[in-house]
Formats: sequence, C-alpha cells, structure tokens
Amino acid sequence: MKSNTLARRRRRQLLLFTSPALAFFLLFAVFPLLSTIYISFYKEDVFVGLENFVFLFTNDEASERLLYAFLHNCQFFLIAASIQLPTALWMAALLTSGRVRRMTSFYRTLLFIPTTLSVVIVGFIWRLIISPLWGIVDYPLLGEPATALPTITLMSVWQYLGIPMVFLYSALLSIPSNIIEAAQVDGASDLRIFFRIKIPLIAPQIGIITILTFIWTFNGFDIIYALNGGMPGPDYATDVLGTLFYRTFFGWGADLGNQNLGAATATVIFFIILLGTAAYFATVQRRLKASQL
Amino acid sequence: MKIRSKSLVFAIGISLLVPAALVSTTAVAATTTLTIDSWRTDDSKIWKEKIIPIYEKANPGVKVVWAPSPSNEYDSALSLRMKSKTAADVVMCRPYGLTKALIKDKHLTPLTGLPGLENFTKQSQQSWADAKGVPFCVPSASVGAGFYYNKNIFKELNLTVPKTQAEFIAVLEKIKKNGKYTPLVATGLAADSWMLDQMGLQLVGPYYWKGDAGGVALDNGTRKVTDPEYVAAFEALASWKPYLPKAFSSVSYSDAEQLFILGRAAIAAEGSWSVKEMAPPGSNVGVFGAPVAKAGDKPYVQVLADHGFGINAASPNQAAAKKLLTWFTTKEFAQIYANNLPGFFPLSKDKITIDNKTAQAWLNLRDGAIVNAPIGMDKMNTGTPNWFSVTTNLLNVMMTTKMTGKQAAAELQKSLESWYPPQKKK
Repeated sequence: MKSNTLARRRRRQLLLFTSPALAFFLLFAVFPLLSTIYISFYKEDVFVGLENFVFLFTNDEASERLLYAFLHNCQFFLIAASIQLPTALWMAALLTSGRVRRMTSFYRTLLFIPTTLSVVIVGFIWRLIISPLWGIVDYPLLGEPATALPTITLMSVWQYLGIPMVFLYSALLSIPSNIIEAAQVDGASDLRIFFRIKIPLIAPQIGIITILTFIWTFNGFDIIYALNGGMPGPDYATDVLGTLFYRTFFGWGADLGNQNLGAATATVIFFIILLGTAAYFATVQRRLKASQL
Repeated sequence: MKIRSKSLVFAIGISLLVPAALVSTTAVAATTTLTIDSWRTDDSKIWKEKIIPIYEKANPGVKVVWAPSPSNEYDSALSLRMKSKTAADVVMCRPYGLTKALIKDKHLTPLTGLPGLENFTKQSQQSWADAKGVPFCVPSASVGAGFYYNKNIFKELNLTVPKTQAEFIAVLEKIKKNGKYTPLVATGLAADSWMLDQMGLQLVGPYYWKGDAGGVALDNGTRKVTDPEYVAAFEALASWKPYLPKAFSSVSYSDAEQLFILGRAAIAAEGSWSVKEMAPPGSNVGVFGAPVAKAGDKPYVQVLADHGFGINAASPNQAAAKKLLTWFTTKEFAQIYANNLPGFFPLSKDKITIDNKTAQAWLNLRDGAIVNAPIGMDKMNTGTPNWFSVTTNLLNVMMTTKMTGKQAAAELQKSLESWYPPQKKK
C-alpha cells in the first residue's frame, strides 16, 4: 500500500519534470511534422489524398528533379562521411597522443573555430579563394557540373570538421588508461593500440557521428543556398532535397511556390531520413554496441 | 507567496500595458498612416528622406511609412501577408507572375478610373492588368538592357561603337586580338543566370523575332521556339562565347561588374538599373543597344516594366491610398523618382529631364527604336516547368558548354510542349 503511493508519486514527479521538455517537443517538433504531412494531402484546401505524391513520383520533370536531388544528397553524404570522419579521427588522435602537449587546447580551439562561423561567410570566403578571377585556382570549380557539388561538400566538411573531432576527442579521452597501460606492458605498438584497442572502444561514437552526418547532409540546405540560390546550378548539378523543397514550397524566380506540393516533398525527405536512420540502427549500430566494455 | 506576488506584479503590468496600447492606436488614428511594402530595400534612404517628406508636406494628416522586405523574400512574404490580411496598405507590384496571382485572388483593389492613369500607355499597364485589361497598379519605373562600353579602351584600340552584328563581332575580335582586355563580360555562374535571359537573349532577340509580335506568336502557339527567327536569336547570343572572360562558368554577376568597373573588360552586357555602379561620376562610360543584322535596319529596344504600386484590397485606408497612388501618376513624382534612382525610368507619357548623363544615354536608345517588352514572361510562366526557369538554365548551359543555339531552342520547345496548351503537339 505504501509502496504503491510512492510509485504513484514518483510517476507524477516524472511527468512534472519531463513536461516542459515534452511540451516543447510536441509543440515545435511533433506538431509541425504532423501538420506538414496533413497539408501534403491537400491541394488549395481540397483533400486530394496522395495526388501530390503521385505527381512527385510520376511527373517527368518533378520525378527527375527528385531523383537527382536524392542522388546528389547521397554523393554529399558519401564525400562528407569518407573525408570528414577519418580527418576528424586523425585530428582527435593527434590531440590525445600527447605530441602537441601544451598546445592541445590551442589546436582544439583552432580546429573548432570554422564551425562557429556563419555559413554565408564560409561560402563567400571560399568562393573568393577558389575564384579563377580573384583567387588561387585557375579552374571554374563551382561552374563545372562535375566539380561543383564535391567542391561545396568540401567547404562544408572544412567548416564542420570541429564537431566530429570534439566528439571523438572526448571519446578517446574517456578510454581508461589501465587498458592502454596493460597493452603497453604486453608490448603492443602505438599503432596497434590505436587500431586494435582504441578504435573498437570508440566504435559506437563513430557510428553515431556517421548517422548524424547522414542526417545533416540529407537536411543540408544552407551552404548550397548561400552559394547557388534556390535553383542550384550549373544545370541543377548541386540541387539537393533541401533546395528542391525550398523551391517547391516558397518558389524561386518565376515559380510562385506550391505549399501543398512543398509539404509533400518535405514528407518524402522526412521518410528518407527516417528509413535511413532506422535501417542503420537496426543493422550496424546494434552490433557496434556489443563490442563496448 | 513570493512567486504569487511576482505573478501579481506581472498581471498588473499586463493590465496597464493593454489600455496603453489601445490609447496609442487611437492617438494615431487621428491621422491616417499608410504603409508601403516593397522589395527595393536599397532605395529606403531616398524614400524616407526625399520622396515621402514631399508628399506629407503637401498632405497634412497623412503619415507614410516605408516598410520594405528583402527582395528574395518579398514574393512569398507578400502572398502570405495578403492571405492573412496583414499586408501593407500600398504594395509594390512585380511585373506579371506574383501580381497576376494577387489579382486572381482579389487581393488588389482595381484602379479603374484612377485620375492620372490615362497618363500611361496600355503597354506599360499590361504586366499588372487582369485578362479584361482592368489596371491594378500604377506603373512607376521601367528598366532596359543594353551594353556599357569603356570609352577609354575604345579610344586606345581605335574602335567605333558597333551598329550591326558583323561590326559587333569585329569589335570583339579586335579587342581579343589585342589581348589586353576581356572583350565582353556577362554572367556564367548558374545562380545568376537570369542575367543571360534579361540582358542576353531578351536583349539581342527582339530584332530577330520582331519584338512583341514574336512573344504573342509563341503565346498563341502560331510559332515555335524552333522556328528560324527564335533560333537566330539564340545563335546571336551564342556568338558571344569566344569573347567572354576566362573560366566563364564561375563568373558571377558581381564578378562581371567588377571586371568592367576595374577597366579589365571593354564591354558589359548589362541593365540600366546599374548606372550608379557601372558609370560612377568621373568614369568614361558609354551605352549602346543591341546590334541589328543589316545596316539601316530599325533597332529594337527592351523596356521592361520593373515595378508599380497597387492597393491592398483589405486595407481600411482605401481613399488615402488612392490619393497617394494618384500622386504617383504625376509628373512631379516621375521627375523626383527618375533623378534619385538613375536607370529607373518613369513609364508616364510626360517628358522628363534626367540629370545623370549615362541614364539619359539609356533613355536616348529608345529614340527611333521599336520599343518592346521581354517575351515569355506572362502566360508561358504560369505552369511547370515555367518558361523563365527553363530558359535561364538552358542559356547558362548553352553559354558554358558546347551546346548550340539550335539545341537550346529545341530543348526549350520540348519543355513548352510538355505542358503549355497552345504549344502542345496535336
């Protein structure tokens, strides 16, 4: 009887303490999400079911744009993940190796600074640096379809390198020193310790960063919009799902924007990210956790 | 108890503020406040310091507030504000697209019988009239496209202003052979490719497709973009390719302007609106129009109705707004506007004198020329994929790759046939 009231009180307390966060979450995440899905079933206040989605996937022009935007997002993600993650790991390993000694915090700050800059500034500076007219590169990197998206991806990688680096840096620091010492006593080389002991121990963090990179790149919009506007060229070569959504929802140039079709695009993006993340957690991340201490 | 007293103070505070807010609105209501929404944030100073004080002085009891929004947010912001009935009393009208949509949804007040409106040609009103020709905006400024040229470079290389396409190419060839200057600047970066339409195809094209008649023929479906007169226009633009700056595909609009301003380029394909930047005081810059094919042919000059003013149908101050718009039709307003915003030309029939010499040179291009508006911007812009998006993208591809004018025209035609009823294959 007594324990029962205690449990009830605890439950009430739980509700009390989580309610502010829950309210914010419901108001600013769940509600907009549901209303977006709701809007996507309408066409100027008339319920049309899945018509907007059918249009997105079957109209020649719209489906081609959607497919290319998706493929560009995949490219964006693959380049970002395959360059940003190893570089961040390398930097974090250097910072924790003890070789930079007292300069550790200096380098850590230096590597993190670009992350704090505005995307507009980063885009502007890099555009000037690589401009064939005023800069140091004699090739129109942003003007050629083959190089435009990789170039923008690298700008983004440069800017946000600090975030995975700090993640991995703190993960490396939290490895108990007695494990490392034991390995050293057993005669393992530094490289061997790094690849056979440290990396398996921080594998869950590496997994989390990969999935965060996936979410960031598939939600990516700002740097592409800042550099190339809402119809990102050349010939849509840098168009991603984010800019496609923006163009559809708000309009661009002579397009006036279609809120319902835009909401349908946003819903498609949401499900791509949801499925990608779910598949990842179901397959890879679960196995990574098994190797934890 | 402490918390409760705090919330009590808060409640008292709120209850004091609410009547205060009410009082302040009633105080303002004694005079009429008119707000103007616009995308011309650059012109705020001129409106606040020059234009509005003149009107307020002549009309006591009226307060005019200039409240612009950033240009690339204007269209979506205005249509949302119109839907929620929170838009300004007087709004700036874009030509075609947005304004036509606002007219369709009855968000603008019809201006039939507004005194002073007879001062404008039918042509200047068509971009903001409904299908029956009822006007909804007072036309206030037009712009045009053409070429700026650096007179010093022309003198140094002993060049004369070209009149025909052959002369134009000859001039470009001479500058290229000399090697010191970039012959011609335009914009190759995809993000700024609107420029290749407005100051490229729509600049050189009217001569070939015979001005407005060419636009009507496409609108009605009697002619196709693949017909010779349109292909010739695409080819005329493509003939610029060998003379453009290096790494052209990454040259932005501001890069192009900088190259010309710094004296590294001889000719710039540009618009009248950038008179202030391209021809600052002390520079030696001239203006010429689109070349014609045969000497002695009549030139065509583009006049694009750039902006006008309309009245929000939901505004409570209809009479005061109409009075303001009537003033916008007067010669007095046109004179102030033209001289404070060089390169933007009044659309009224009044004779206006312009102090800025380069701006006057732009206006002189219209003498003896056939005036026309850009084509495709009205009906062919109402569907997906629209004329403007497809054309700008194709022109960008054409100018930065090996694509020919004929191929570009064929692609554009294919896109129109996919949705535009008069052009659909039967």
